[in-house]
Amino acid sequence: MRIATRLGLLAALLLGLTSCGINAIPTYEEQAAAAWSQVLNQYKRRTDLIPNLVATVQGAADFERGTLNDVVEARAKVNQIQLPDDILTNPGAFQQFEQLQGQLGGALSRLLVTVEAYPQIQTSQNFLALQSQIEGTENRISVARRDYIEAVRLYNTELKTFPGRIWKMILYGTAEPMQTFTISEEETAVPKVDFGKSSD
Amino acid sequence: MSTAILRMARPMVRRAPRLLFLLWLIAAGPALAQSFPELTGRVVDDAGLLSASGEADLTSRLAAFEEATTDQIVVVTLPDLGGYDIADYGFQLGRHWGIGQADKNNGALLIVSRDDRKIRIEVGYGLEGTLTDANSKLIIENVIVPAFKAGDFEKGISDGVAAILALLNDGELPAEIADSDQVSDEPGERPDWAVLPVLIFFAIFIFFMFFAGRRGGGTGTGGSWHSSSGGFSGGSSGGGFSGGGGSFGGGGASGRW
Repeated sequence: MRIATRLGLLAALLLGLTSCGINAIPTYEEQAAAAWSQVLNQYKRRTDLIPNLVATVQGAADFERGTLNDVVEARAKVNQIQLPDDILTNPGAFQQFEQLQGQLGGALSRLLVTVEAYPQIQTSQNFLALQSQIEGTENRISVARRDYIEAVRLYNTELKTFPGRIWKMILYGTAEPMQTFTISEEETAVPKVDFGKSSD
Repeated sequence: MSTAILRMARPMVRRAPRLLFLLWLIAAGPALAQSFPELTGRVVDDAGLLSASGEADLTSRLAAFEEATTDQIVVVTLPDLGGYDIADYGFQLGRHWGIGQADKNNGALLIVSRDDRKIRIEVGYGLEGTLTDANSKLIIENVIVPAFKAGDFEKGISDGVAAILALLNDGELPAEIADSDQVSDEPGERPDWAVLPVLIFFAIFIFFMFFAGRRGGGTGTGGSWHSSSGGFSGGSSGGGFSGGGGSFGGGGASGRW
C-alpha cells in the first residue's frame, strides 16, 4: 500500500516535471537539428543542379567565361567544406560555411543575369526547366533558413530563460546556444532574376 | 509603510485579468502580423475573378479529387499581395491554412494576385515529387498565362486546375502542355524526399502548435492541437472545408501575365 502511494507520488512528480519543461531543451535541440538538416539538404540540392546548368550554358558559343568560372569555383569550394560535428555551436565553422554558400549564391545569381544577354540559351526548354528548378531551390533555401532561425531562436531562448536555465544547470550542462544565420538573405543572393520576363 | 504598498497593490490585483489579456495580445501579435484571407472553401475568390457557377464547378472538382486521393488543392485569388513577394506569401499562407493532410503534406495552392498580375503554384512537401518546379512553371506559362493575357481568368484558372489534377493523377503532364521532351523532372529526387517530410514534419508540427495554440484561444477551447487546427477551418461555407494540417517548404513556381 505504501509502495503504491509512493509510486503514485513519483509518477505525479514525473508528470509535473514534464509539464514544467524538463524536456524542452532536448526537444528544441532536436527541432533545430532537423531544421538544420533541411537547410543542408536544400544547399546540397542547389550544388547538385549546377553541373547541369553549367553544361547547358557552356553549349552556347562565345559565352562569357568569367561568371561561369566563378560558379564552378564557388561550387568546388562548397563541396570541399568538411563540416565539423559541432558546426551548430562553432561560430568559426558556421560563419565559414555560410560565407561559402553565400559566395556560391552570389556567383549563381550573376550567372543567371548574364544569361539574359543570350537569347538562344534563355529560350531553350532545357534552360527554362533548370531556371525554374534553381528559382525553386533558392526559395526552399530561404524557407529552410527561416525555419532554422526560428528553431534556433526557440532553443536559445529556452536556454537563457526560466525554467530552461535551471534545467540546463541541473541536467543539460553541455547544451550550448546554437549559431544562427547573420548575413541577410539578400546578401546571400536569392537571384532576383525575373523569370516571367521571357514571356512578355 | 506596508499598508501603503498593499493599497497600491490592490488595484493591480484587480487589473490582473486585463493585464494578462494585454500580455496575451502582445504575445499573439507576431502571429497576427501578416494578415491572411479566411479559408472560406476550396476556392477563395477574394479578387472576384470567378463566376458563381465557375467557383461551384471548381469546388466540386477539387472536392472529388480530395475524396479520391486525399490531396488538397485550393485556389486563392487576391486583390494584391500587400507588398509581399508571392513565393514568400505563398508558403506562409499554405502553412497558415494547413492545406494538405498533416501526415502527407499533400497540399497545393494556386494563387492569383490580380493587381500584381502574378501567379504562383505553391506545392506542399508531399507533392513536390510530381508537381515539380519545372512542371508547375510549364502549367503557369503554357496554360494559365495565355488565358489570362486574353482576359479570361476563369478559363485560365479552370484549365490550370485541370492540368494540376491531371498531372497529380497520371504522374506526368498532358503532352500538349509539356510540348517538349527535353523538360525533365529533377533526377533522383524522390528517394531523398521520401524520408524528409517525416523529418521536417516534427519541426513544423511544433512550430505550428506554438503559434496555433495561441490563436486557438479565439475559439474558446484553447490548448489542444486538435482544437487549434480546427481554428484554421472556414467554418460553415464550402461544406465545412478545412486544412488537414499539411506544410509547405517553398516548392512550386511563379509567373506573371
